[in-house]
Amino acid sequence: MTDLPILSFAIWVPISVGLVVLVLGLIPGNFSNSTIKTVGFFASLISLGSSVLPLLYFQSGFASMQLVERFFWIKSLGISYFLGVDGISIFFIPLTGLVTFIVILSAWEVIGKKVSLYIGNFLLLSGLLNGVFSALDGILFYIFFEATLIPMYFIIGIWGGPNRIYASIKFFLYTLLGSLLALVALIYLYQISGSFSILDWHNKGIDLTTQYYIFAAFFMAFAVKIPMWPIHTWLPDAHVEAPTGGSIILAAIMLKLGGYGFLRISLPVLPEASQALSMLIIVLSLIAISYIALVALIQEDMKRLVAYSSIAHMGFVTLGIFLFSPLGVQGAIFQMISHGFISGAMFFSIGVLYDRIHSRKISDYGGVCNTMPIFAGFFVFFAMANCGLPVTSGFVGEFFVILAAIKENILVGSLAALTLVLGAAYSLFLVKKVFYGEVANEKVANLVDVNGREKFLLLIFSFFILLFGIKPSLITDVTQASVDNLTNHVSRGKQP
Amino acid sequence: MHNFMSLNFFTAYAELFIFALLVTFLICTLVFKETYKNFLYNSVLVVIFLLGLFLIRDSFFSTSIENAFNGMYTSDPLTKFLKGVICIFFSLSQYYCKKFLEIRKIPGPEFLLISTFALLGQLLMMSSNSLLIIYLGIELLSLSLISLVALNRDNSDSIEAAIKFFVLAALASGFLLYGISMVYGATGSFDLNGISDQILSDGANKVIVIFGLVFIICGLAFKLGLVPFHMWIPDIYQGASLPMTMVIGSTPKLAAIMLGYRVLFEGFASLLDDWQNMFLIMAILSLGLGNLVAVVQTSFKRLMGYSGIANVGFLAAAISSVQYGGENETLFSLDALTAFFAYGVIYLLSFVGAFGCLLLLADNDKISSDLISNLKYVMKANPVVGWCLVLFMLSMAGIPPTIGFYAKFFVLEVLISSEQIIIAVFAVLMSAVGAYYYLKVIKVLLFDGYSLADQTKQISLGASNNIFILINASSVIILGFFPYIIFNNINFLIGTSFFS
Repeated sequence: MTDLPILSFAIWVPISVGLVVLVLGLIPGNFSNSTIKTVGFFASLISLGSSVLPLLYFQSGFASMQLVERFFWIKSLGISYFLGVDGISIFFIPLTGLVTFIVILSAWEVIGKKVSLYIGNFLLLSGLLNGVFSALDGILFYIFFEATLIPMYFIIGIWGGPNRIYASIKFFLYTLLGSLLALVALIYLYQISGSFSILDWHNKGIDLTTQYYIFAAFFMAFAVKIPMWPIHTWLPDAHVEAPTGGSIILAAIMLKLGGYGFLRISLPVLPEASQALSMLIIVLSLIAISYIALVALIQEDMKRLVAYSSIAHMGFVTLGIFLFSPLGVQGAIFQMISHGFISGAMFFSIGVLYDRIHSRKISDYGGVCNTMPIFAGFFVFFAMANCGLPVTSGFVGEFFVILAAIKENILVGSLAALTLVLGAAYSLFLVKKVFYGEVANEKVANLVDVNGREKFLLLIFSFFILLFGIKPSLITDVTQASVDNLTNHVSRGKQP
Repeated sequence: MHNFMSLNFFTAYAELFIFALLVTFLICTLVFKETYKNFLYNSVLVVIFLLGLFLIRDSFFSTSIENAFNGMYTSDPLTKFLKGVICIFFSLSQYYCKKFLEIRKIPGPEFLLISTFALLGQLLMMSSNSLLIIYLGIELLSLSLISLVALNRDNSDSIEAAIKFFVLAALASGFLLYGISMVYGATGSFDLNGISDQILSDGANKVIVIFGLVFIICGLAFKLGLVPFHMWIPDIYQGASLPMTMVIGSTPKLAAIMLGYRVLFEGFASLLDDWQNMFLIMAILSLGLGNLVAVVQTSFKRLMGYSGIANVGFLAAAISSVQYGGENETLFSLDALTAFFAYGVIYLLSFVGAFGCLLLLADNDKISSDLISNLKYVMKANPVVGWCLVLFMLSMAGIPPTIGFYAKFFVLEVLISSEQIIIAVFAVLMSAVGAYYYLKVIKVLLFDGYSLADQTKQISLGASNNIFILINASSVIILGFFPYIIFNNINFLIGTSFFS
C-alpha cells in the first residue's frame, strides 16, 4: 500500500501533458510538426506510465476499494473527490493508457494538420477516461463521463470523413441525452441517501417502483454508451467517420464505459430492479448478438462491419452482466478487456489499409495477402480472435458467458452460442474478400507491406491477445474477489 | 425628525459615485480635446471596475442591512456583491466594445455615457425597497437602453429595433404601473415591507393585491424575458448592433434577478403559493420555446436571444422550487436561492465572454455580420478567440467540466429536492435540445473553420484584449474545478443578508 495519490496521477498526468501539447500548438512561435510529435510521443509515454502505476500497486484478492483518495470537494452538496479501484475497474486504467499510446503512434505519418490538437485531445481523453474508471462519487463519475464527449467530438469532427459532422453531433447528442437523465437519477439518489458516494447507495432499501425509474434513467445512459440494440445507431456512423485513432479508442475504451457503468452503479445500487428487468436486457442482448451479427454480415464498408461486430460483442457483455452469476460477470469483464485489444487491432489494421488506398470499401480490395504477406498474417490472426478462436483472448470471455448462460437457461445459452458461427462467418468473409483471391486492381498490386512502426503496434496487440488467451487467470484472479462480492450483493437483493 | 442627514446618503454610495462619475465624464467630454477621449473612456472603465471590486470587498466586511432615504432604499451584503459583479462585468463588456465602436464609427463617449446611465438604473432597481423606486430604476434602465439601441442611427435595423423596444417597454411599464397602483390601493403603501405587513395582517383586500401582483410580475417577466413576455428579445437582439446587444443582454438580467427577489420574497412572500405557480408555468414555457425555437436560428444574436430565454427559464424554475423552511429553520430554502443567484452570475460570465469574442473580431466584416455560418472565419482570424468562444459555448450548453454545468446542476438539484422531478426531467430534455444548437455553433467554429481553404486575414488583438478574453475564458474552466467559490460565497451572503 502507498499513500501517494496514484489514481490522481493516472487522471491528471495525462491531462496536464495533454494541455502542454495543446498549448504548444497555440503558441504563435509555430513549432514544427516533428517537434510536436516528439513531445507528444514522450507525453504519451509518461501518461502510459502513470496509467500502469495503479496496476502495480493493486493487491488482488480483496474485494474492497483500494488506492482510495477521498476529500470533500463541494462540501455543501456532499460532493467529494472520491477515487478508488477494485477488481472490476483496475484493468481499464492501464488499458486506456496503452491504447492511447498506440493511438498516438498509429497516426504518426497520417495526421498532417493540427498535430498538437490531435495528440493533445487524445491525451486529455485518456485522463478523463481514467477518471471515469476510478471515480466513486456519483457527480465526479458523471463529470468525467460527460467530459469525455468533448475531445471525442473534436476528434470525429475535425479529422473525420466526409459525413463527420452528422456523425459527431449524433454521437454527442445520443450520449448526452442518456446521461442527462442519469444526472437526474444521481441527484435523486442523493436526496434519498444524503451522499453522492456510490458506495453509500448500496443497500439503501429503495422501493421497487422508484428503483425502476432510476434503473431506466441509468439504463438510458449506459445502454446508449455500450451500445445496445435498438439505440446503437450512433455507433456505426461514429466509427465510419472517425479517424483511425478515434475509432480505436471509441471501440477499445469508450464502449466499455457503458458496461462499467452497469457494473458500478446499476447492479449494486439497484439490485431488485436489475433482477426484475434482467430478462428484458437479456433479450436485447440476444438480439444484439444474433441480429446485429447478421447485419454485420452484409456490410460493404470494413469499418462498419467491425462496428457492428463490436455491438454484437458488447451484447455478450450485457448478457454476462445480467446473468448475475460470478462466471457471467467475470466473462463480461474479460470480454470488455479482450475486446479492447481485438477491436482496437481490427480498426488499426483497417487504418493501415486505408492509409494506403484511401478506401474502406471491401470491394476495392482483394488479394492483399499477395502484396502484404506479413500484414495479412496479423490480420487473419485478429479476425480469428474476433470470432473467438481458442487460445486467443476472444475465446475466453465468450466461453465464460455462454457457460454461465447455459447454466441459467439452455435456450439463452444456445442462442448466445450462435455468435461463434455468425462471428466466424463475417470475420472469415471479410478475410476472404479482402486478403485472398486474385490481386484485385492496380492499387492493391502496388501496396507496400507494413513498416517497422506498424509492425511494432501489431505485435503489441497480438502479444496481449495471445497472453490473455493462454493465461486468462492473469485477469480473472484479480477480478475474482470483487466479482464474487458484487454477485453476492445482487443475489442477496433477491430475497425479500 | 427627518433632517437632511437622516437620509443616510452614504448607504447609497455606489449610485452616488456612479452619478458623480457620469457628471464628471459628461463635462470632461465637452471640455477636453478629441485626443483625450480614449484616455477618458479607459479611466471611466477602470474607475467602475475598482468600484466593483470595492463593493465586493465591502459585501464581505459590512454584514449589516442598511436603509436610506426613509426606507425607500436598502442595501445588504448580497446586493452589494451583485452590484460589484455587475460593475466588473459592465466595465469588461464596455472594454470589449471599444474596438467595434471605433471601427464602425459609433461615437464611443456617447455609448459609454448612455450605458452608464443604464448601469445607474440597474443599481438603483437592485436596491429599491419601494415600488416607486423600482419604477424609477426600471424606467431609467429602459430609456437608456432604448436610446442606446437608437445610437447607431444610420442603420435602419437599429432604428426599427429601438422603436419596437420603446413601444414594448412602454407597454411593460404600463403593466407595472397598473399593478403598482392596484397594490397601493389595496395596501396603502409603496414600501415593500409595509405591503408585506399589510398582507400578513389581513389588512388588504387579497384579490386586489393578487391582481396587482400579476401585473407587477408581467412587468418583471418582461425585463427578464420570460415566455410569454419574451417577444422583444430576439428582434431587439438582432436589430441592435453587437455592442448594444451586449449591454442589453448582460448585466440588466442580473439586476432584474435581484429586483425579482426583492419584490417576490420581501414584498409578496406571503403570497408564495400564488406567484410560484405563475413562475412554474413561465419556466416550462420558456424552457420549451426558447430551446426549440433557437434550433432553427441562423443569426447568432437571435440564437443568443432564444438561448437567453431558455436560461431565464431555468431561473424561473429555481424560483418556483423555493420552499418554506429550508435548513437552519430559515424562512426559505437557502439552496434554491443560491442556485437562483449563482445561475445569473454564471450566465453573465459566459454571455459577456461569447459576445466579447465576436466584438474583438470586429475588423472582419463577415464575422460581425451576425450569420452563424460566418463564424467559420473565426478560427482563421484568431484561433485563441475561436477556442475561447468554443469554451463559452460549452459552458452555455452546460457540459462539464465548465462552470455552466454546475449552474444547471444546482437548479436541477433544488428542483428534485422540492420533488418537482417531472420539471427536472423536462428541463434536462430541453437542455439536450439546447446542447444541439450550441454544438452547431461549435461545429461551424471548429469543423467548418479548420477545413476552410480561403485565406482569411489574421486579426491580432492587443495584449490587453488577449489577457481579458483569456482570463474570462479560463475562469469558465477554473471555476468549473472550484465551483464552490461561487456557490459558497453566494450562500454565505444570502445568509447574512436575509436570514440573519
